[in-house]
Amino acid sequence: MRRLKLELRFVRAYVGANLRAALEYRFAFWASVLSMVLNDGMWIAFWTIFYARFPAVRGYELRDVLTIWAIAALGFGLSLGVFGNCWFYAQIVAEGRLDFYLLLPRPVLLHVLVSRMSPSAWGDAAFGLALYLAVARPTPAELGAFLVMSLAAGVIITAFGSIVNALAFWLGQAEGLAQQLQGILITFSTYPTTLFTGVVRVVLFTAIPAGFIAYVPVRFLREWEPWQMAAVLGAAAAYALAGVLVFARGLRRYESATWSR
Amino acid sequence: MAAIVVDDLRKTFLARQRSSGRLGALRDLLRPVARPVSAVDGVSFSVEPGELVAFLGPNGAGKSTTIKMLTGILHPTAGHASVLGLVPWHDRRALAHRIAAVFGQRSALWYHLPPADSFELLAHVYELDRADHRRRVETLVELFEIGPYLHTPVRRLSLGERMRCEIVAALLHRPEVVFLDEPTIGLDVIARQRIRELIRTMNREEGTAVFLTSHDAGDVEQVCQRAIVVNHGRIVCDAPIAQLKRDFLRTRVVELTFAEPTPGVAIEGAEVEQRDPLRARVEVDLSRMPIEVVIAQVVGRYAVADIAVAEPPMEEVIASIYRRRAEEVAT
Amino acid sequence: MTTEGMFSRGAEPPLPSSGATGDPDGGDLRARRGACATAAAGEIPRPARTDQGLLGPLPKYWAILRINLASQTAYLGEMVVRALFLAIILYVYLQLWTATYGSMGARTVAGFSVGQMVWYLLLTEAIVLSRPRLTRDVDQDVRAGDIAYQLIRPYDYVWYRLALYAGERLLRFALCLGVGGVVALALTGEAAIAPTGLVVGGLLFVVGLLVDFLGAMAIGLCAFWLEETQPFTLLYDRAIMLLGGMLLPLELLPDPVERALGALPFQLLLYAPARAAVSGDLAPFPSASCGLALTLAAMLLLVRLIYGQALRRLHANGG
Repeated sequence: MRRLKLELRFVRAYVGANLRAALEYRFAFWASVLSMVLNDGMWIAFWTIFYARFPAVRGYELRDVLTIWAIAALGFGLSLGVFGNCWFYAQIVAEGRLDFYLLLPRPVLLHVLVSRMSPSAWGDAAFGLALYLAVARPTPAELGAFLVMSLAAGVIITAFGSIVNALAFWLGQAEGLAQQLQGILITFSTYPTTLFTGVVRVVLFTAIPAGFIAYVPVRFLREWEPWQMAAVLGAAAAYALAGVLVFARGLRRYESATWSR
Repeated sequence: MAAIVVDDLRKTFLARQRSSGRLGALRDLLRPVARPVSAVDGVSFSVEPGELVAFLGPNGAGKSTTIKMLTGILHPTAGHASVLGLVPWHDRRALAHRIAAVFGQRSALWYHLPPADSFELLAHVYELDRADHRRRVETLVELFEIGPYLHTPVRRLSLGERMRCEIVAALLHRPEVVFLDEPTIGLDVIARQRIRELIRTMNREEGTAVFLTSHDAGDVEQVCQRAIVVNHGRIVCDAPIAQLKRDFLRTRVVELTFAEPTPGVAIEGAEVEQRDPLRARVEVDLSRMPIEVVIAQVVGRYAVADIAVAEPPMEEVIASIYRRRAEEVAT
Repeated sequence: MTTEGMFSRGAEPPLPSSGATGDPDGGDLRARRGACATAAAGEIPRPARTDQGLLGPLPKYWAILRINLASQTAYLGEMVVRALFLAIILYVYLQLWTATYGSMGARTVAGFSVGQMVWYLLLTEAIVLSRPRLTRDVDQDVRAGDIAYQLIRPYDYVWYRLALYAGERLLRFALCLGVGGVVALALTGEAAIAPTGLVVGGLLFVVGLLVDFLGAMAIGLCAFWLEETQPFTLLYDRAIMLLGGMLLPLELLPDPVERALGALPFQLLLYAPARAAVSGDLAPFPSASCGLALTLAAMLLLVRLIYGQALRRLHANGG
């Protein structure tokens, strides 16, 4: 328990420092926040126009799609805002710069993830929250559920990114792959999951966990079945665990370094 | 109890060998051929608490590999080591609380923020008590004289100012052993002197053991009491600096520029290397010929436009150490 | 984190600068201007110049284009990977429209079949993904002072940039289309493009390329006055995607929106060529080409204006 509090304080201090460093370049910071808000806004415009013309898509109404977007945006925002390195640290591994983190007495994975922040992430997060408030006009209970779902989504996204980047321990390089997979995750997380069937659907609940970001949370917010909440939280826990384990294996490999770096 | 104990530490890497030609490249892909390379080949020494040790050797001698093993970053292939009673690669995190490392070429400070912010963050990293940390920062800021730019973003600091902040950052958690890697690289003469002074002060006031890697002979001479020299992964010399100077730094190199072309320069008791009629390089063995005699000869015999007397570079000293060792072994 | 294509959010890997002749120093502008001034003063004998011939300066720019093309092939692999990501997008799009059309029981909507919707997206995405980062390169040139260095060379900076831009963009477009086309064919089972429409669309694309180039160049040159051009580039990119009809052909939009967007020039860059290629409908071609011609003229004027101002500022301040 004390350990947990220590790590939380550490993370909070880091996020603060990250923000301050980003705000040193105020103009660029707000510009990227704005750009992300515009990017998200475009998609909302697309879906609004789409639903003005077309009927529900395989059970998803406009409200459902916008909820998916809100969860994904807030989840990504939190993930990239707090654990901003989760999509980028492959390069640190490839260049041997992990040594810096190994010299310090903090859990290496946590430290690596937390040592970078994407400024636009906060645009995403704000947008997601605002979108949900506008679209769903939620009761406090619904808002609470939404926040929990988004947090879980954030954990899954962070874990996924972390696992993909950890491949650098074995492949030596994983940046390009990480970028592509991030795009793929985003794409599948922002469309009605019911569009996809068969093998693809299975993939979306295992290898590329978009189903736990786009499908189950929305169903829970509609149907309030406890098993749905449990599924999302369980998936988040499972992915987090997988992320930690994969990184630990990779780190062992890095430390024993049989091949000269 | 010794601060650092190293016993027959070894690290072998596999270096990929590239075969030539297209068939060779294909073969490499399917079955990579590797040649074992011994980066550290049986190193043993011990360091007492509060000692100032220079860790020397040419590039590729195995210095950084050894330090990585001592700090727990790398696991050895064989052998044993203990730092402050802990095995580095087993108890890396516990050890991290009690040691520090400063790299001249890599910064531990945040580039866009002032050093003050980095110190704050490090307080969290090292789980330091707030009140004690604040006092500690005040003490170090005063000692290292970084007060004027404590709140200036690091990117705007000069190299010398930045290095002082880096060392302060490393000392915040009162480490018992500090690993310094090229701390004075790129600094001007005055900045160098200050850093050396501060390292000595730190050692004196806090009893911090210092493990210094440097290519700068001045660093070695003015800061350290003892030097461990490695080459090809093995220790070739482990002696107090005074002894090193006495036994090995016995040569001086005199660079001469003549006022008129002077071929065929010769000095008794010294080796002359003449590159062109206007310049010559004289190597003097101080154990055989005092420097003033040589200079008197030169000035007396030839028309000298410029004269420079220098100690041989560290690489040469080490090379000569290694050569001497090999000779001793041979006899 | 600039993004290309609405689906990509992450930081793109750095692309090679279109400036194949980057100056290694990038250093003190005044020092170089001093050197330039000496050269211009006629102290150094000028080499004999070959006759320009009928085509005038064109062969020079063609050579620049060719050489830059060769250096681009090093990044072929990266482009192919990006084009493969297009496959995912096309797949998702196919599912969306199949489901939508299916639930309505319709074969076509506003004259578009499902296959045509997918090919429409492929074309607009290919056009968008092929856009090089001109503004960033020009911005860097201006800030590093390279632009002054370029001015002493015997060609016009803008046309020089166009040669590089066109080469890179056409190559990327061809790649996207090639890889994406194979995927679209596999997914939809048809090549929902009309041959005549393709030619017309191609023409519109090429002219649109020039317009887009001038727009990006205009923003890049503003680096002389602005602290940061990136936010404006982002806005410009977003405007093209959003208002150009990247995801939805304008027919599918509500009438007032359709009319509004139809009046703007952005749709000439994406919607017009893609729709022409997909539907083979040549009726809108005259008005589209008129619109493009007008926009092109306006942009040319704008860039010349800004360029003139930039030169004046350069001569006054030295960069």
